[in-house]
Amino acid sequence: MSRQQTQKVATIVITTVATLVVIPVLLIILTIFYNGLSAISWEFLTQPPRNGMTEGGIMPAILGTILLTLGTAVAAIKQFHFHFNRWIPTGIQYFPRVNRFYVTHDHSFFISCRWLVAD
Amino acid sequence: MIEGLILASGVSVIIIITLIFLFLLKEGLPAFTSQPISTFFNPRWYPIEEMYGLLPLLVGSLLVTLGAVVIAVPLGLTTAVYLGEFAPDWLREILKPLIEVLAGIPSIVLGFLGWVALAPIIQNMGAPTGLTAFTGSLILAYMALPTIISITEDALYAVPKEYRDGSLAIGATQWQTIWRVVLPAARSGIVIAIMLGVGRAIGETMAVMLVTGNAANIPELGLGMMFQPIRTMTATIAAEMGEVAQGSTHYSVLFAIGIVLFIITFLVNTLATRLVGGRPQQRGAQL
Repeated sequence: MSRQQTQKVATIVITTVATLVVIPVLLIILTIFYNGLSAISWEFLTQPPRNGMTEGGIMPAILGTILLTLGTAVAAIKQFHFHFNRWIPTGIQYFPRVNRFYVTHDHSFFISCRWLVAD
Repeated sequence: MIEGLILASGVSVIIIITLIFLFLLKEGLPAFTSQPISTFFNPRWYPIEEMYGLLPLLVGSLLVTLGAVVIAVPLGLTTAVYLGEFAPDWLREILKPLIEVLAGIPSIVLGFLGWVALAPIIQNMGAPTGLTAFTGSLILAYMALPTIISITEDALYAVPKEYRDGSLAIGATQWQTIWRVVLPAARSGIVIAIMLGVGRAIGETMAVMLVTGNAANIPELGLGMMFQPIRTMTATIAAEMGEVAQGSTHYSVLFAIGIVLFIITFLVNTLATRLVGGRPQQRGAQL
C-alpha cells in the first residue's frame, strides 16, 4: 500500500471511529432529556416526597447533595496550594499552553477536581 | 502562623489517610488469620455457607476492567486524533464540549441508562441476559472516554506547530506526520490521559453493580466469557456490607477484599508511575 493510500484509509477509519464514538454520546444525552424532562416541574424540585415516594418531589435529596458538596469543599479547600498566581488543589497543576488544570499526581481522589476547576 | 496552619492541615491529611489504612488492616486481617488461606481460593463465593472464594470476584473485576480498557483506549485515542487533526474547527468546537458534558454525567446515571437501555439491546443480540461483563465494560468505557479524548486532544494541541510543518515540508503525508511525529511528541500527555481515564473506571462500583448481573461465577473460558453475568469486588463490598453482622467472618472477609483492592490499585499506580517516569512536573511537560 502506498503512503497516499494509507493516508486515505487512515482518514476513513479515524472518521468512522470518531462518528461511532460520538453517536452514543449524543444518544445518552438525548435519552436522559427525552425521558426525564417531562417529569421536572416546580413541585418536583421544591416539595419533599409524599405517599411513600410516589408523589411530591426531591427537595430533600437536592439539599442533601448541596450540603454534602459544601462539606467536601470545606474539607478539600485546606489542601489548596499557590501556583502560577492562583490557588489550586494539591496534586493539580496549571498548564499555561493549553490554559487548563491537570491532575499531576496519581491520586484518583482528586480527578473529580479537574472538572471543577477546568476552563 | 499561616505556615503553621498549612503544616497542620497537611499533617492532618496524612494522619487521616494513615488511620483509614490502619482501620482497613485492623478489620480485614482477621479474615486471613482466622481460617486457612485456601478458603480464598475456593471457586465459589457463598458467604452464607462459609465459602469465601475470592477468585470469581477477582476474575469478574479483571474481565470488566480489561474489557473497558480494550474498548476505551483505541476508541479514545482515535477520536482524539480525529478531533485534533482531521475535524474542521466548527465541528471540534461542537464535539469537544459535548464529549466533556459526558464526563459530567454522574456514574450512577450512566449505570441506570445501561440497565434500562443497553441491557435489553445486549440481550436481543443473543446473550442469555443483558446484564453481562460486556455491558459493564461498555458503560465503564464510556465513563473513561471523555477523559481520554479530552486530555489526549489537549496533548496533541500542545505539540508545537513547527513539528507538523517540518514533517509536512519534507513530503510526509498527514497520516505519517501524525503517526511518526505528533503522537510520539505527545506521548507523555497521552499516557496521563489513559491513566486518568482508566483511573475513573477502575474503582467504579455503582454503575458496574447495576449492569453486570452480580452473579459470582467464574465465566467459562472462550469467546462467550464477556457475555455472562459476573460480580466485581467493589460491587460485592457495596452489596453485602449493609447486611453483614459486624465482627463476623463475612464482615472481615469484605474488608479483606478491600485490602486486595488497595494492593491492586497500589500496584497499578506504581506501574503507571514507572511507565511515565520522572517527577510529576516533568511528566506534564508536554502539556
